[in-house]
Amino acid sequence: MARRPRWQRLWGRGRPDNVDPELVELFRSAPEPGDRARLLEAASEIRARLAAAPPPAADPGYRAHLRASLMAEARQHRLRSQQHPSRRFGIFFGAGLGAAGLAMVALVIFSIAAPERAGAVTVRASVGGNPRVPVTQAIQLSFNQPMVESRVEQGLVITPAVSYRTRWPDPKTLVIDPEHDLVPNVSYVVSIARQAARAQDGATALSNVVIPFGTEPLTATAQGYPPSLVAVNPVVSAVGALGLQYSENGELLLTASGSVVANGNTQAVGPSPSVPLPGPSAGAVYSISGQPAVLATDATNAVPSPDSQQIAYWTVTNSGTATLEVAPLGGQGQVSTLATVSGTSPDVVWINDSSLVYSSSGQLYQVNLDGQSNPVDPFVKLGPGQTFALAPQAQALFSRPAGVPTVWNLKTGSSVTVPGLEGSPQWSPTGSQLAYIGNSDGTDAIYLAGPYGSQPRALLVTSQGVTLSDLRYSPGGQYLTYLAATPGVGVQAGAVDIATGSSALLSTTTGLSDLVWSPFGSSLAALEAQPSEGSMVVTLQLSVPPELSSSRSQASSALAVASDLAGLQVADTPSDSAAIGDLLAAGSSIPPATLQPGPFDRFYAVSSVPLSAAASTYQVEIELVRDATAKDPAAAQDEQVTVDVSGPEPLISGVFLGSLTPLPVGPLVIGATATGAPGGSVSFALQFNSDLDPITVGAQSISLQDSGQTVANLQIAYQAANRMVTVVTGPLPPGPLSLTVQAPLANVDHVQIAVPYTLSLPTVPAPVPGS
Amino acid sequence: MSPSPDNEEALIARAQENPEHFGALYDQYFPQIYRYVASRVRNRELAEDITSEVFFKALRAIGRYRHTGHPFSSWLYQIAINAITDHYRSRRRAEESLDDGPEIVDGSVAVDEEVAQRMGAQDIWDLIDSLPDQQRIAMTLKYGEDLKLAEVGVIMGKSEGAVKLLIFRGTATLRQRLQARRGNVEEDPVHG
Repeated sequence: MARRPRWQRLWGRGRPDNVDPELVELFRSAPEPGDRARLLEAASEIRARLAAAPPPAADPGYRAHLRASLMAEARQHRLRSQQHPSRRFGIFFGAGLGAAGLAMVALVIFSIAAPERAGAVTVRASVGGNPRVPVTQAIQLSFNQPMVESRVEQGLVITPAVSYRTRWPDPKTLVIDPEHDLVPNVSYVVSIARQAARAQDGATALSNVVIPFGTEPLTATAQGYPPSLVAVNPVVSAVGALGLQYSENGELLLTASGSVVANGNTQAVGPSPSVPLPGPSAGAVYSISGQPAVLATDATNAVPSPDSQQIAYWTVTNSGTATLEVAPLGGQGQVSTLATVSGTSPDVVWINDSSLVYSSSGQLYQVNLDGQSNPVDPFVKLGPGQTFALAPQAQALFSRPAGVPTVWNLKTGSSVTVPGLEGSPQWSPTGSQLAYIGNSDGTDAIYLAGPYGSQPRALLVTSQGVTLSDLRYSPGGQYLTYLAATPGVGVQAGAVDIATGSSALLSTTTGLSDLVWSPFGSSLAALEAQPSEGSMVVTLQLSVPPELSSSRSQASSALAVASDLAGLQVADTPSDSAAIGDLLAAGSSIPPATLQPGPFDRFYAVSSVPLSAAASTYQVEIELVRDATAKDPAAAQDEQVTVDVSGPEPLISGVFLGSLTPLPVGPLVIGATATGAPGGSVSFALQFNSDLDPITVGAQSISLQDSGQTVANLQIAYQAANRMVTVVTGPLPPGPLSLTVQAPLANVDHVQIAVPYTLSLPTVPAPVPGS
Repeated sequence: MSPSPDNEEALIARAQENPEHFGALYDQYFPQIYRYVASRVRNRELAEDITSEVFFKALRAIGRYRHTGHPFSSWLYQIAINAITDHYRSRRRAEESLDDGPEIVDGSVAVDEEVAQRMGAQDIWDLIDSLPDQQRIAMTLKYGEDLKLAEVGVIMGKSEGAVKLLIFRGTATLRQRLQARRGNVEEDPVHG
């Protein structure tokens, strides 16, 4: 009997036990029958040999040591994450993020040391030496050898401070993705300590890595306009006021010369007649209740308390000192003297209803209503007479030591320089965000930053020549109002939606100052300069629902309106379902479990709005707020509940969770120019915020008055590409012109213009030089 | 023993929420990853260094790990393979810079022959090292770690079919070299 071939013998004895079925199946598919057995035999031998050569065992203590090291690093980064909430764990550890697609400028060789020594770490930086790096650009560091990533990241410092994430596409490449856009027109330095620039083979850089670069100036123009922010029906309410402030419960306080406070009830104001002020009498403080009564003379820097029950002010004596006094605004009670300082009156800020902060000789003091005064922080030093701003809950402070805009974290003592900051910044009502006006390359812009000035990003960039001022947060922190002075136009009020960055002019009124929000965000008041009578108060009723209050005191006021809402609580806590449940009264028809807290930093109750004439049913709003400084536009969510207090227990129903939905409004004119020559034609160019319905653009919506006479035969054209309407007249005689844009002009959504726009010219404008 | 998929997902989620919970994943997968690394580098100190690097990288990147249904170990293997590759690359560069080129193991035929001349207890590993990179990785994961072909594919970013081809060829090559070491001439070489 012929002996079978070897492969048949091998295969015939079945598969070896040490070869797994997948390999048996794999080798069974070999094209040549002989190969099948040979491969199977080889597989068996490989497995056997591998089993006979086990890998070296780990040192008994190594496993425990490595575990301890890992846990130590985990703890360290968890602590950092807690100190910097925006650094969530996954983010901190280098989660790749949406900076993908950012164009890298040509790599600039950046040598750490010259001449380069063999084995030393060197690095090239994508931004090195570039003075005009785009603000959206990631920073890429390319090392000449694989690096110890943790060491590099630990030694990485960027100044001014930038919040960033890191990732390593490979061990030689570190990509730094700023969480927010870099600040325009700022010089940055990326540095790594020499010992931290360590390669996996132990080599280090020969000296500290220092990579300077600069960011390009902003070139963007104003963005679009939110449809929810349009003021309508400006109302003249008073004449002669020089300063404005709303009280907690909605009373409009009129302040003349910064020191006279008088009563002006918003319920009483109307188009006419004007309400005269009891004065003006510079240096006097008036009670706001009943008949105006003088509380103090020679007063300066008067500031009402958050609950508007008291007012603090300084009185200056002949001996060169200033005394801080607090008087009840109701006219009852005595004036308290809290402190005396030498020199002129410093700033004073209320921290809460019972304590204030003021500066004296460069030191900040906190004083209670009983006169007890203590230094605020030893590490904050102000120059003599320097002004300051204080964040809510006194968590941060802004001042300008040696002229340098600086924000202190009063909890840690650390400080951040905020380059380019103009004027005084404003903290959001919750203190979680800082807004300020900065100027980059001659262009004003509104910036948002973290509460301590870090991570700034441009929110709204104006056109060249426009000057911004008077930033004011809306009560809910959703909008920022500003005054914009435009050459040839005047000072107008605008608002910008913080979530989207879109902005709107609030009215066509010019000459405004002292823009203030009403407590619930439903209206704004401002002073309008009058040629002959000083100022008038103008209130702007907003076409938005009453905005949510966001501070405890304001929420308290809201609750006072709905005084029957027993059991409804105000919360300002980290989100958790139990706390949300606490907001709802016992016996609520809404199980707390149905309220999903979501990833919110905090939430607030509430404003309440009566839904029935008998005020037995209220709509209560709770705002849930995520990280307000993040790029995520969905930073806030509303929850609305209906509360029925007609029964013995409040009945809460109608929970609605969703994002705020803007109300539709029409187009707005955001810019206008007029050129021409006496006796010649005049050309108008009107810039709109949104795409127009071209059918509505024409003589039916745009008209021109020349010395009171309607001008015929206007050439009106709409350039859809840039949302520009041009109006060209025939030859016109010298005289006042008035161009009006009104309904039926509408946008592509068929929403007509809400506020007629008028451009008035005293005479035919001069031609633009060179045109 | 690997945890059930649900339990593994829970462990991952906890570690992503709080990095201090990464310890549970470490406890679960240390033996597997250390064994693999040690089998590849066959030096205890080096294996410990690389294993440390693997778990530190995993800890730092756990936040961006997305569970796709594949075992968590696949991700750790990926990190380990990259770390081992990086180690040999950097060592090769260092040796090149010192003009010690002849000692470099780079899978070339010349090295194969050199390796083939060195018989000893570790010869099977030497032979595996002499395979091209992709074959070597597939072979070590399949033969050394007993992983399923599909999981090897996940780790290597290849289809199962591609992995089969790599193992088919790798096995055939090793067989030839084992035969060569024995001084035998293959009478019927495998077609591969």
